[in-house]
Order: sequence, then structure tokens, then C-alpha cells
Amino acid sequence: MEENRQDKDLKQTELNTEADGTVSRVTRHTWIGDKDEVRPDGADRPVTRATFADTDVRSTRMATTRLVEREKRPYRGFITDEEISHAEAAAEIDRRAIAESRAAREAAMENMTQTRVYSNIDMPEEEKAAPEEEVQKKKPRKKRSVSINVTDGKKFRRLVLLLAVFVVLLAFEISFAVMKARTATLPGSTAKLRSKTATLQADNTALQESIDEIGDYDEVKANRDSWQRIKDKLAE
Amino acid sequence: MAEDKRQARGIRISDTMLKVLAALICITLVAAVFVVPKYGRVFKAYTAARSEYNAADAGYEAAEQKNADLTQKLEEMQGMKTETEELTAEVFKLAAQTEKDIQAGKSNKKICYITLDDGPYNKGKDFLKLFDQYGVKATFFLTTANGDKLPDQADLSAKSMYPEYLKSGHTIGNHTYSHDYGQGGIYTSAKAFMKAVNNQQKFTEEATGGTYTPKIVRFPGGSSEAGDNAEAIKEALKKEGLGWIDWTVDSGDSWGSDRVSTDLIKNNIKDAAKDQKIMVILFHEWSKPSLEAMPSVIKYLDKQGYIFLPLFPESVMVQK
Repeated sequence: MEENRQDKDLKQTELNTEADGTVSRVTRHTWIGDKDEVRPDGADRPVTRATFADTDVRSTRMATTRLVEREKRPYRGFITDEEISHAEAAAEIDRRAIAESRAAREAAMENMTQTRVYSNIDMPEEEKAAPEEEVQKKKPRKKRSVSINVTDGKKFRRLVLLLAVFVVLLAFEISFAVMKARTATLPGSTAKLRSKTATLQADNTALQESIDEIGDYDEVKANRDSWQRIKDKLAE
Repeated sequence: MAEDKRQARGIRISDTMLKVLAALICITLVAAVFVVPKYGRVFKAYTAARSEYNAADAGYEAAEQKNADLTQKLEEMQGMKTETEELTAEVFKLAAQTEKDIQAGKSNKKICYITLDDGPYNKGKDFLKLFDQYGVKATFFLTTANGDKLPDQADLSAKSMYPEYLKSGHTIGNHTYSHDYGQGGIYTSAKAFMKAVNNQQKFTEEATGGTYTPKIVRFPGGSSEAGDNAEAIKEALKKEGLGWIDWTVDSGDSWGSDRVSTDLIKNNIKDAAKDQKIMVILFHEWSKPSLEAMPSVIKYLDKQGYIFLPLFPESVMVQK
């Protein structure tokens, strides 16, 4: 296999371009030898090292291409212009396939991001309305956050437990602070209350004395009623 | 799709939030370390202080409630007292007019003044109870002949009885301080009589806390006992603004409890009631037969249409 490999420089061709458009990859096409690649659209091209490299990197292509034995041909020397253009066309097809695949992946990612909770909720309007070019220039800052799914019961339970412990401890400490504060103020309040009670009791004693001076409630009432009866009799 | 939904139910916590939460938990934990050893002591102190406060609060609330009750009761009683005073004034006014109408033959009403002499006695309480029971108002002519002691209950102060008479709306009259109408007694001169009267006035005022001064005097043994000094005494009484009164019906109880029966008392009164439209009946507070006869007497006179009144200065029966 190694013997059959004819290292011939074909042409340095810009065959592929990264999606961001900033980096160009120049691929050296080198004949491997006696194999042609047959593409899904039926086109075939000579197998080069670049073809193999692409195939290795993107294993998906393995499913859509197949390598076939090339018919024995005599040594041709340098590759012809026709063969170069053939290879360029095949590379163009590859590029398109890669671009399509990338677009599909990005669309899927976009869809996923939009359905996530809290995604972009806090994003300011200006940022949302920023021109696309600017967004593209600024690499999106990766949000450092911890996402806990309800479906992830273990994590959720841990969080709830942690919060519960925090709340219990907080309540415990608040109650302690309140008790301490109240303990300091209660004696004063109690003394005030007792003082007020003493005043009230003195007032009550005076009131009771006044009542006693007037007499028994029932007797006073009976006396009034009897006078009323006498008046009624006299007024008849 | 289902995966997306599950993700939508997730909780997303930023790193900052997570750090703050962690810091809070750490602070809380550290604080708890300091709090726990002291918690028991503070709780105990707080419980004790709270308990004291609660007791004080309960005491205050009870005192406050009692204060409200007493205030309400006092106001009500003061209202009733005022009402009673107004009613009394109205009754005396009406009674004075009725007496005049009776004397002029314009009214068929009958008035009975029950008077009891020589008190206070402990037995007076029984009379008072009876009078309250029947809604009767009477007049007590009091003396201090026995000093500040009740003759039938020496351990009780005579003064303590005075408010009792007034409480039920009865009239207190002056029966002189000494009640000594024998030889060399109160009737020897107007001056002697007035001294006995004034002393009794003073005693009554003392006994009633200065709230009551008698306006009517009854001569011990009756005005006829005054003899030649009667007119001078009456003149002296008039000068003092005091009226005097005898009686129109003698129950007969003065002959002594052993010699008088309840029937005799009842008959005496029944006889008098036949032709008297305004009666002033003489009883004695010490008389047991009078006390026993009193319910029958009241019932009988009430049936006869008599209105029982206490004596009042404006009455036509009071001499001025």
C-alpha cells in the first residue's frame, strides 16, 4: 500500500473554510494510489490524503462514501487540470455538506437554548437588540451557573435539605436573639405593669369606698323603686 | 420534546447566588456554634421573665376589669342615688299637696306616718327589714340616752345604726340627746331642752358623716310633758329652724313589752284608722310587740289605702 502511494504535489487548494470565516485551511491533496472515492451523488474522484483526513475527522462521511478499486492505469505523472477541477468540485461538495451539518447543529442548539428556563431572561434589552455583527464579534460570555433539574431528584433533595437546614438554623438564631432582647426588656415592662396595677388597685379601693358610702347596690335600687311606687300612688 | 420540558422545570442558580447562599449558611452555622451553649440559659431566663410578665399582665388585666366594673357600678349607683333624691323631693312635694287636699276634703287619699321613738336599738334592724320588705318609709326619732351603745346590743356602736335608717330612705328625727324628761331634766327650761336637742343634732351629724341634719323634733313623752316651758321651747325650736311633732295614734306599746299584746296594738291602730285620713302613729323601737304587730298593721293600713311616708319638714303634721 505504501509502495503504491505516489506522493505527488497536486496543488495547494483552499478546499475548506471554517464556519467563522476567519481561518482558512489549506489542504494538501496527495495521491494515495489506486483508489477512487465514489460520493453519494455518484461522482467519483481519486482518493487523496486530504480525502482520507476528512474521512477520519468526520466519520459521518464513512456512511455516505465508499472507496473502490481504481482500474489499473499507467503512471500518468502529474495530475491533469481536469483531475484538479474534479477534485475541487468534490471538495466544494464536502464544504457544503459540512456547512449544512453545522447549520443543522446550530439550529438544534439554538432551539435547546430557547426552551431552557431562565435563558436570557435577565438579558438587557440593549444586549438583545445588539446588531448581529457585534454579537458575532463579541464572543458570547459563557454563563457560569448551576442548573438543577427537578428530574434530578438527588440534587434537588440536597438543595432542599440545605435550604431547610439554613432556615432552621436561622429561625433558631432569630428566636435566640429575640429571647435575649425580650429578656432584657421584660423586667422593665413587668415593673411598669405592676406600677400601673398598683395605681389601678388604689383607684379600685377608692371606687369601692365610694360605692360602699352609697350603700348596697340592691338596697339602693330597691329604695329608688319604692320611692317610685310611692310617687305613683300619690300621683294617681 | 419531553427532554426540553424536563429541562424547563429545572432551577438555575448562578455562581454568585450559590456563593452568597454558601456564605449565609456558613455564617449561620458559626453563629449557631455560639448560640447553642447559651440557648438554654437564655431560654430559662426568658421563660422566667415572661412568666413574671404574664402574671403581672394578668393582675393588671384583672385590676383593669375590676376598675371598669367598679366605675360602671359607681356611676350607676350615683345615678340611682340622684334619681332617688329627685324622686324624694317630688314625693314630698306631692305629699304636701295631697295633705292639703285631704284636709280640704278634696282628696280621698290617706297618709300614714309610722314613727318609732327611743332608738337606735339593735331591734331597729328588724324593723328596717320589715319596712324594706313592704316598701314602707318611716320616721325614727333617735336619742343618745344610752350613749354610743345600743341598749339591746352593748357591743355595737349606736352611731353605726344611723346610716342604716337613711339607706332605706327613712327620716331621722331628733328625740333629744338625753331623753331625760323627769324632774330637773330637759323641760326645766327652753335652754336645757335646746341643749339636749343640739347635742343630738351634733351626734346625728357625726354619725352620718355630716351628710344629715334632722329637721323635726319629737318631745320625749310628748309636747305635753314640757309643761309651762312648752311655748318657749317651741319658739326656740322655730328659731333654730326645727319643726316638731307629736302623734295622732298611740300604738300603746309604751306601756311595756310585758303588758302590751300585739292584738292591743293592732286594735288601737284599727280604731284610729276609722276616722283619720292622715295618721301619725307612735311606736317604740325597743318594743317587741310592735315589731310583731307591724306586718299585720302595714297590711291592714295598706288595704285601707294608706300611703306610708316618712315625715318631712313641709308636712302639715309637722309644727313649725
